[in-house]
Amino acid sequence: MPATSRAPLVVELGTGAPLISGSAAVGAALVLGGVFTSTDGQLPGWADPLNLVLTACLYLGPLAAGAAALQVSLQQASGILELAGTTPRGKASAIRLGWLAIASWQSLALLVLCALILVRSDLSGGFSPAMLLLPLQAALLVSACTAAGVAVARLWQHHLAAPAVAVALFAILYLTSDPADRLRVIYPEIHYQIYLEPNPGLLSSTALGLAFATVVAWTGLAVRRSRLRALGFVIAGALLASSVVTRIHTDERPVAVRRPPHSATCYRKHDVRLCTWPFPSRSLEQSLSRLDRMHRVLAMYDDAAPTDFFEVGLVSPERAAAYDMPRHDDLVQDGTEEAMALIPVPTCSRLAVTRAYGELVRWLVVESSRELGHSASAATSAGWVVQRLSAVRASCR
Amino acid sequence: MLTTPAVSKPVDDAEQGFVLRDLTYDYRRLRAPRRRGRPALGGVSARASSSAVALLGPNGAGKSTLFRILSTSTSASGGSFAVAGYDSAGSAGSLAEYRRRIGVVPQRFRAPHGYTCREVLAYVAWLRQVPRAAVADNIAEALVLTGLAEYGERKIGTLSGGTLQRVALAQALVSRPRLLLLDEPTVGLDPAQRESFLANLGEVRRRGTTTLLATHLVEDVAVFAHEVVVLNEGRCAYAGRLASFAETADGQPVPGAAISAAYQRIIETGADG
Repeated sequence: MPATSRAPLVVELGTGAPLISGSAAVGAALVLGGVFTSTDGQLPGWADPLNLVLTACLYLGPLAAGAAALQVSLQQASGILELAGTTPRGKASAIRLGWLAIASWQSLALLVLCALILVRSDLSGGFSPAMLLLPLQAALLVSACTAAGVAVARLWQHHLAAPAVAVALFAILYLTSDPADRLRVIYPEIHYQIYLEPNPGLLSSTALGLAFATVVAWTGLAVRRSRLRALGFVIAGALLASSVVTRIHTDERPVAVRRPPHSATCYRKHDVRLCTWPFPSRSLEQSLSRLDRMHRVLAMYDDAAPTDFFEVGLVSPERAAAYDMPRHDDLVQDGTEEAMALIPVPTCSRLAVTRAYGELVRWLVVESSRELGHSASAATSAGWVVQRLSAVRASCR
Repeated sequence: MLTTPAVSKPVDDAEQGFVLRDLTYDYRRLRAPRRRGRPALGGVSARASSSAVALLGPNGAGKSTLFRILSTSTSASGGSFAVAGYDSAGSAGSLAEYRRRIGVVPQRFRAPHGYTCREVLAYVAWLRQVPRAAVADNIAEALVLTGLAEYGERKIGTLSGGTLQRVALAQALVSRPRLLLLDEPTVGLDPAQRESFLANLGEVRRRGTTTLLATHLVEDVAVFAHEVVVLNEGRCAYAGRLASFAETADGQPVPGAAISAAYQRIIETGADG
C-alpha cells in the first residue's frame, strides 16, 4: 500500500519560512507576554489584558508582514510560483497556501500571548462580550499585515522586500500610536481607554471592509498583467472598502462606554466625594486631593460647584462631574482632568462658549496649583470667572 | 526543406502531437524596453503528430517562450495552438482541464529544501487537482517510474543535481499527464545522469504520454524524438519526421552526427531556408 502524504498545508506549516517565522513569533509572544507586559494598573476583568494583546500587534504585525513577504519571495525564487502558474489552481492558490501557513502561525502566537497575559491578570471582574472583539481585532490586524507582506513581495520582487515591509509597517504602527507612550513596550489604554470598549457594529463593518479589500486585491494580483494594474486593484479595493465602512457607519462613535465590572465604591475627602470603579489604583489619593483643592478654589466663585464626582464608565463622559481618573502613577498629571470634571460642561457649541470653557479649565488648573489664600488673581478675577461660568451654563439662543 | 503545413482551420483533435498556428510573442506588450527588438516568436506555425517531439534551436531561438506558451505560464501575443484535446483559440476544451492534463518540467527545477520528495509531489498533485484518493498511488507510481522509490522521504536539500532533475520529472508525472512538457531538462547533468534521465523519459513515452522536449542538445534528440521542430530567430525553420530531417531511412536509428549536420545546415541557412 502506498505511503500516505501529508496535506500541503500541514507540510507548509512545518517547513521553511512559516515554521521559522512562526516559531520566532511564538517566542516573541512568550517574551512579550511573560516579561515585558506590565499588568500593574489594570482594572479587574478581561478588558485590559485583551487590550494588551491588541497593543502587542505593534511588534507581531510587522513580524508577520515580513514573514509573509519572505515566504512569497522564496516561492518566487524557487520557481514554485512559475510552476503553479501552469496548474489549474494557479499561482494565487500557491500564494494563498503560503499566506495561510504564515497567518496560522501568527494567530497561534497571538493565542499564546493572550493566554499568557490572561493568566497573569486579575480576571475577577466583569466581562463584556464586546471585549472579545479586541483579540479578534488583533488577529485581523496581523492577518492584514501578512496580506500586506504578500502584496509588497508580489509587486516588488527584491530580496529587501521582506525587511522593508516589516520596518515600514512598524514605523506606521509606531508613529500612529500615542506619542507620550511610544517607548513603553506594552501598556494598556493605547487603543481603548479604560472606560471604553470596541463598538461591535463599527468593528464588524471594518472587518467586512477589510475582507472585501483583500478579495479585490487578491483578484488583482491573480490576474495581474502589470504591477501598475495590480497596484490599481489594491488601491481601488482599499478605497471601496473604506467608503463602504464610512457609508454604513457615518457619525457612529468608534467606541462605547464600558459597563463597570462591579458597583461603584465611593471615597471622601473634606467636601468632595469620588465614586470610582472598584480596586482603584494608587493614584486615588492624589486624584482626591486635586479634586478637593480645585473644588475649594472654584467654590469661592461658584456656589453650585459640584462635590460628587463619578469616574467615567459609571457615568457617560459627557455628563456633569464625570471624572476620567488617571490610572498610571508614573504619568505626570497637570490637573486638567479634575478641572474638566469641576467646570460645567457647556451645552452650547458656539465658539465663544467653548472658548470660555477652555479658559476656565486652564484658569482652574493654574489657580489651584498656587497655595490657597495667596492667590494674587483671586480678588481681581471674580467678575471674569463668573462671566465665563454664566457663559458655559447658558443655553444657545 | 521547410515542411510546415498551412493550417487554415482549427484542429479539434490533437490527441497526439500538436498544432501551432501563427504563434507570436512580442516583448513590447510587456513594456520591457531592454528586450525590445525582434519578437521572441514571429509567427510560428507547425504540426507534429507523434508522441515524442523535440523542439530544437539555438539559445534565443524562442524555445523557452514557446514552451511557456504551451505550458500556459504566459499567453501568446497572437495565434493559437491545439494540443491534448485543447485549443487555445477556444474551439475545444477549457484551460483548467488542459492544465490538469499537462505535466511540466521547468528548465531549472527547484523546490523548498525542507520538503521531502514525496511532499513536493503531493504539493504538485494538489496544484494539479489530482483527486485525493489517487494521490498516494500516483506519487508511488511517479517515484518508481523515475527511479526514486528509495528517495521518497529524502529532503530536497540533500539531493544531487541529477536526482533533483528526476524529482522534476516525477512531479510532472504525478497527475498522470497526457502531455509532458520538458524545457532543457538535461542541461547541467553529467553524462551518466543524462543517460539515466533520458532512460526514465523513454519509459514515460512508452506508457503513451505525448512528450515535447525543448532542447539545444542534438544528442538528446537522437535518443528521444520521433519528430522535430526547429526554431531559429523566433521562426519555425523545420517541422517534420526526425528521419527526414537527418535524411536517413525511416525506422532506423538516427545517428547524432546526422542530426547535428542537418541542424547546422538549417541554422546557417536561416529561418527562411
